Amino acid sequence: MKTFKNFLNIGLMVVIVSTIASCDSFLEDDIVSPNDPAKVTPELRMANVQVATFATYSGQLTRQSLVFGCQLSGTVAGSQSRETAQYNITEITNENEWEVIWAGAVVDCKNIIKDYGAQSPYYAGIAQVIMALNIGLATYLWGDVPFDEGGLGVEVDLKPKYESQAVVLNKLQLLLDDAIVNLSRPLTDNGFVPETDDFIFGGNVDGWIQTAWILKARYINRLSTVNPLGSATDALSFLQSSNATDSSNDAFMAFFGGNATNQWNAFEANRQGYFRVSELFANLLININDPRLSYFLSEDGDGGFSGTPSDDPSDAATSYLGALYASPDSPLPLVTFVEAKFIEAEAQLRAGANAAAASAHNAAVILSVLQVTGSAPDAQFETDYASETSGSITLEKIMTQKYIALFAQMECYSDWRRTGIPNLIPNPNAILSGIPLRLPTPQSERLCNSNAIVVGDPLLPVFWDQP
Amino acid sequence: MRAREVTLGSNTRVDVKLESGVMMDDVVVTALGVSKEKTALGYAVSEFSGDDLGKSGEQNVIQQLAAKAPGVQVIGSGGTPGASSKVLIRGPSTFTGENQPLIVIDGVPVDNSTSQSSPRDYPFNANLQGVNNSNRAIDNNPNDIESVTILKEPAAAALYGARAGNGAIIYTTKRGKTGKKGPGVKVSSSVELSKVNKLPDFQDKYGPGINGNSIALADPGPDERFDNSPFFVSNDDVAFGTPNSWGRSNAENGDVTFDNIDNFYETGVAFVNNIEISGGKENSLLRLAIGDNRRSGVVPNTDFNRTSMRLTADFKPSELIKIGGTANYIKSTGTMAQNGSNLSGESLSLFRMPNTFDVRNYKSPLGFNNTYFFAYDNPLYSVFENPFTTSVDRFLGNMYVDLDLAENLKVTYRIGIDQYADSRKQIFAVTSNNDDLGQVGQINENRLKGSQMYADLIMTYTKSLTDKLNLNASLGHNFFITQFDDLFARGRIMSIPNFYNLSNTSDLYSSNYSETLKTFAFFGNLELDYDRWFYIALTGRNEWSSSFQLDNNNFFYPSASASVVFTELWDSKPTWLSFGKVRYSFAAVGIAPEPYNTATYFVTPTYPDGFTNGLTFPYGSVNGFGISNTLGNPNLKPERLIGNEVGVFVSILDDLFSLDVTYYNQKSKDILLFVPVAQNSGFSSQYTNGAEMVNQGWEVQLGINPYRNRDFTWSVDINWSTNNNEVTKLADCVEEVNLEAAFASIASFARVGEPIGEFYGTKWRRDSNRNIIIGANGRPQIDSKTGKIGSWIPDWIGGIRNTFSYKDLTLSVLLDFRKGGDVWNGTYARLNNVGRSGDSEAREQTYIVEGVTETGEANTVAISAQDYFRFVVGDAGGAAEEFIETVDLVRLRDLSLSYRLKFRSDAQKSHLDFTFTAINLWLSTNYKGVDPETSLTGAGSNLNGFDYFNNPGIKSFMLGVAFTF
Repeated sequence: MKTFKNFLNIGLMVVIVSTIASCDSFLEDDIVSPNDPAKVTPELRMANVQVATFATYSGQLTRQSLVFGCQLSGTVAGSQSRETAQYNITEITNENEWEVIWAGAVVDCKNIIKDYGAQSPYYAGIAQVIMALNIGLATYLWGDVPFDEGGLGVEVDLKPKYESQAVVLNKLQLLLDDAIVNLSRPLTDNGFVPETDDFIFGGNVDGWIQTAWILKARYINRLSTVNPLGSATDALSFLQSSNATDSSNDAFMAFFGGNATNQWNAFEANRQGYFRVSELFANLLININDPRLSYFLSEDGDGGFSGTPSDDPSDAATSYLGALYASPDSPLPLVTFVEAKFIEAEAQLRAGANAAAASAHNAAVILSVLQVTGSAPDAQFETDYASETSGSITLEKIMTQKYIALFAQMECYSDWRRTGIPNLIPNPNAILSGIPLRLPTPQSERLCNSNAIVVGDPLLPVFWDQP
Repeated sequence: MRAREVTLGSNTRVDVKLESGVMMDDVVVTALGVSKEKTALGYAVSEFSGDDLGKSGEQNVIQQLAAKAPGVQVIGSGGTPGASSKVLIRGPSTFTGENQPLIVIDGVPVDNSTSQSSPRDYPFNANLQGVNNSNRAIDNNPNDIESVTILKEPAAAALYGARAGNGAIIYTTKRGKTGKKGPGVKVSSSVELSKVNKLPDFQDKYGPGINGNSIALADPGPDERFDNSPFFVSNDDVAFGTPNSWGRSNAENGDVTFDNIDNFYETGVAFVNNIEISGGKENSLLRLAIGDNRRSGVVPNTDFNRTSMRLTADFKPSELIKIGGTANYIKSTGTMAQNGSNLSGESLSLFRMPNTFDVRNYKSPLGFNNTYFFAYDNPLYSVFENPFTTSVDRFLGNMYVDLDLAENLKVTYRIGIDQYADSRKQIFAVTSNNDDLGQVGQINENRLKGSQMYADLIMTYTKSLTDKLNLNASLGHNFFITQFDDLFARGRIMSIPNFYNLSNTSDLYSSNYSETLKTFAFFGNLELDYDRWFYIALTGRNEWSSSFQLDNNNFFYPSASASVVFTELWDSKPTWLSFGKVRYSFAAVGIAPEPYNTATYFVTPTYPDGFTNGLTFPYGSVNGFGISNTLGNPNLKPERLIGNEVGVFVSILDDLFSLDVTYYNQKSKDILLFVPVAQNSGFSSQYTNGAEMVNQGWEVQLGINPYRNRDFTWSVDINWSTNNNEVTKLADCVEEVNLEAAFASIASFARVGEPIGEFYGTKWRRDSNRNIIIGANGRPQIDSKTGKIGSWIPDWIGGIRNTFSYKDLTLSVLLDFRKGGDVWNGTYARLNNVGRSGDSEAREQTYIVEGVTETGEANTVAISAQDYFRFVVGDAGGAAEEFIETVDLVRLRDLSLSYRLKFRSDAQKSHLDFTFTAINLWLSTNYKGVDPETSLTGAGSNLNGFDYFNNPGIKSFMLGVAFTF
C-alpha cells in the first residue's frame, strides 16, 4: 500500500511540474485571434480605402453639405433631417463621418504607402490620391486638421498635431505631386499592380494621373479669393498637365447593390422623405427647361418635379434624386472632366481670358448634358446656356451652370462659400443666423486630443473663405 | 470535525439544538465543491434546497432564484417560453464584460451564456431586436438539483478565479441513495396553464387615421415601393395603411371592431414529467433521471421543450479510493417570439393595431402578409410564417476520483466537460418586413457550438494541531478551456415563396466567429479554527490567462476572512441569545480581459452612416480589409474587484428569530473599457484599464418561526437588500461611456458620480426653477443637451416567504417586493403617439401643458389631444424623460399548496405528493406597461430597464402529482 501511495505522490509531482513547464505553450496558441488577420494584402487594403471614401463622399457629409448649399432640403420626416434643415449641427453630429475619414481611409492610405510604396509605386500613388480626397474633404469642412501626424496612431501618442488650412492645402499639392510621380513610373517598376480592387479605374493609372491633376486644380482653386491670379495660373497649368480631353477618365464611385448599395438609394429606402431636392434647385432647372431635370430629379407625388422650400420642411411629397444618381447601382461622380472644364472657365475668367472662359464654360455645359442625358442639348438650350462669348460670360453664369452640372456633389457648397453664387437665402427658421460655413470640431477631438485646434462656431469661415 | 451528511429540508436553516461546545452542523457547499460548516464561514452565503426552488414552479434554474436571497436580483426578459433570465449579485461589477455570476454544477463550471443570432456584418446592437433567446442554464433540469449555494462575496468565489468575480451559484445535484428496500423510484407529472399577466391599457373607441379622418388600411401582399419585383407583385397596391389610430370614432363610423389582444394571445400549456430511479449498495450508488418539459407560450406558435437524461454513479471500491461521475444529455428545442424594436415583432404590431382590423385575418389568398400598415407584419402572420427555431444538443459530463492517501491527506481530481450545439434558423417569409431588404424573404441559418472543459486537482491536509486548534490546508491547480464557435449563413431575396432552403435565395452571405479562452491556476487555502469560536481562512490564487500577452499573462490575488462566535466567549450571555457570530472578509479578485484584445487586427469594415446599413464587404465581388478602429493593447491588466464585507448572525430564543445582516463594499478597479481616442489618429478607441466603480449595500435575512409543534409549523423567511452603485472614475478624456448602443433618444451610460447604466436621454427645456418652458405653439421643447433621466437600479428589493405546515399539508407563499428602479417605457411613448394607448381615448378635449412661457408666465395655450399625445407624451417629439417610470411593485411570486399522502406510516419511501402552484398570480405596480420585470435586451446584454414592445409576462397555475415508491 505504501508503494502505491509513493507512486501516486510521484505521479502528482510529475503532473504539477510538467503543467507548470507547459503553461506557456498551453496558452500561447490562443493569444492571437482566429477571427481577424494580423496581415492582409495590398488588394484588400486598397478596396477598403476606396469604399471608405465612397462612404464619406456619398453619406451624411454630402447630404448635409447639399442642404447648406441648398440643393437639398431637410424635411420634418425625420428629427435628424429637421436638425440639418435648421443648421442644428453640434460637435457630436459628425463624429461618425470624422471617424470614417481618418480611421477608415487615412490610416490605411498611410499604411499602403509605407508598406507597399517600394514594391508598387502604383499602389502608393493611388493611395496618395485617395488620401488627398479625404484630407482635402476634412479641411474643406473643418478648416485646420492634422496632415503629417494624422493616422499615425501610437506613433504620435494618439494625439495628432493640427496644421493650419493654408499649410494643409499646400501639403495636399505636394502629396498629389508625389502621387503623379509614383503613377508615372513604368509598369515594370511595380512588383504587383491594382486591378479589381481599384473600383474607380480598375488599375488604369492614366485615369488616376488625370484625377490627381484635376484634384490639384480643385484644391488650388479654393484660393480664388486668397490669391486670385496665382490660383488661376496654377489651376490652368494643372489642367493643362492633366491632358484631359473628354470624360472617359472621370472618377466615379462604384456601387453594385447589396452591401455596395448606392447610398442615395439606401438612404431613401431606410429614411423615406428625410431629404428632398430643394425648391431653389428644382425651380432653377424647371425655369430654364433643363434637359437634365428628369435625370437629376425623381417624380414628385403628382408625377411632376418640384422641390421643398428650405424654410418650410413640412412638404416631403416633392422630388428626390432621380434614378441617375439614386438607383441601387448608380455610380456617383467624384472628380470629373466636366468639373475640370468649369474650373478652367472660372480660372480663365479670373485671369482675364474671357474668350477662353466662355469656350470652357460652353464645353462644360454641353458635356454635362451629354453625360447626364446621353444626348447633346437641343439647339434652344445650347443657344440659351452654352453659347457664351467673351462679352457675355460672367462668373455668375459659370458658377450657376457648375451648380447645376455638379448636382449632388459637395463642390457646390465650397463654390458658394467662395463666390456667393448662387445667392442662397438662409433658412429663417434655423437656430443659426446664417448658413453654416464650417463644421464644429468633433467632441472626441476636444476631449481626447490636447493638440487639437478646437472651433465650435459653425459661422466662422475657414481660411480660404474670405470676402 | 465530523463528516456528516445533512439533508437540507424545506427550511434554509436546519434546526439544531445549540449546546455549549456543539456547533450548528449546517453544511453548505462552497467553492470547488467543498462542503463547509456554515459557522466557519467568514462571508455571506445563501443556500436553498432543490425543493425550495421547486416551489417557484419555474423551469429555468436561474428564474427560480427570483426574490429568494438578499443581494440577488433576477431579471426575466418576458413571459415567452425559453426567454432568458439574468441574475446579478450585488449589482454589476464591470462595464462591458460579464456581469453575471459563474454557474457551477457539481464543482464544474457550466455555460450560462445568452447569445443573439447575428452575422458579423450586422452593424447595430443585435440585442435590441430578434427574439428572446435562452440563457443556457435553462437546459438544466430543476428536478436534478439537490441544493444550491449562492456565493456572493469575492472571497467565496476566489478559488474559481476570474470567472467567479461576480460571485458564483453552486449547484449540487442529486446522487444515488441507498434505500432500505431496493431502489427508490419517483414519478412526477404536472400540467400548467398560463395567461398574459399584464398589458398596457388600450383605447377601443377610435379607428385608424389621423386628424380625426379615417385612413384606409393597407392592401395585403407585397408592396411595390419595395424593390421586390419581378418575383412578387400584387396588383392591388393602392393603400399603404397607417399605424395611427387618430381616425374617426368607430361608433360614428359604424365600424365593426375586434378585440385583437384577446384574439391573439392564447393559453400557454406546459407538461412536465420526471422519472428518477435511485439506489444501490453502500459502496456503489446510482441515480438515473429522465425529465421532459413541453411548454407552449401565450404567443401562438411559440414553445420550449427540454428533455434531459442523466445518470450519476458513485463507486467506492476500497477505503482508499472513491470514483464517480455524471453523464447528462439534454435536448432543448424552441420556437421563439420576435421581440422589441422589430418590424415583425409581435407586441409592436399587435399593440399598434387599429381595432377595426381583425388580427385573425392574417394571410391573403396568395399566402401573403395581410396587415393594417404595410411596414409591419401582422403578428399572427409573423408567428406562423417567420418562426425562429432553436435546437440544442447538450452534453454535460464530469467525473472525480477521491483518494485518501493518509489519515489526514486527501487528493481529489475532477474533470468536467460541457458541450452544446445550437442549430438556429430564422426565416422571414416573402412580404414579411423584418428581413434586411424589405419583403423579399430571408433565411438565416446559425450554428453555435460551445464547449467548456474544466479540471482541478486538490490536495487537502487536515490536522488537529492541539486540542483546540485545527488546521485545514489545501493546495490545488485547475485549468479551464472555453471555446465558442458561431457560424452564420444568410440568404436573402427568395425566388420561391415558402421554400426555406438557402438554395432558394439569390443573395448569400456567411460569416463565422470563434473564440478560445484558456486559463490555468494554482491556488492554496489555509483554514484554522480555534476552540469552536474563532475561524480564519486565507486563500491565494495565481492565474494565467490566454487573453494576455505572454510576457505579462498572470496575476495573483488573495482573500482573508475570519469569524468569531461571540456567544461561545460570553459566559454571562442572556439566555434568549442562542447563538451569535460576527464575521469579516476581505477579498481581491482579478478578472482577465476578453480574448484577442492585445493586438490590433485587420477587420472587414462596415461603414454605417447611422441612417442606412452603410457600405461593407464583399463590395460587389471584391473583399476588403482595413486596420481595426480599435487599437489593441499589449499592456492589459486584469480588472480588480476588491471586496470588504462584515456581517453578524444571531439566533434568538432557539431560532424563534434568526437574523443575518451583512454590509459590503466592493470596489471594481482597472475596469476595462473601450476608451475613445482622437479619431484622426486613425483609431477610434483603445481597450484599456481605466474605470472604477463601487457597489455597496446591505443585506438582511430574517427567519422567524412563530409557531412550531409536532403537527403545525409556521415559518417566515424575509430577505431584503439594497445596493448602491456609483461609477467613481472613467478614463482620461472620457466623460461618458455608452454601455451598448440603445436608442436615439435614450441610452445607458456610465458617468462619474452616477450609477452604472443610468438612463441618459432627451429632456424638456426648463427654466431656472425647473419649470418646463412651453413654446408659443403650446408645446414644450426638447433641451439641446441630453442628460441624466433615471437609473434602473432599484432602491431595494425583498421577498417574504410564509410557510405553513399542518401534518402533511404545506402552504407556501412568496411575496416579492421592489421599491424604485426606473424603466424606460418606450412602448407607452409610441402607443400615445399612434393613439392606441388607453390614455389617448380622452381626445374630445384640448390639453394645456403645465409650464411657463419664455417670459415666465404660466402657459395658457391649449393644444389638440392628438398634438398632446404625439408631441408631448408621445415619441413623436416627447422628451425621453417623459417615459421614465419609477417602478414599485408587490408580486405574489408563487403560492404553493402541497399535500403528501403516505401509504405506510413506517416508511418515508412510499407516498403521493399533490401540489398546486400559482405563479405570478397577483401583481400590483404603478407601471403602465407589461410586467415590469422585463428586459428588451435579455440576459446576454448589460443593458437593463428598457421596455420597447417587450413581450408580456405571464401568470400560471400548475397542478402536479408525484409518486414515490
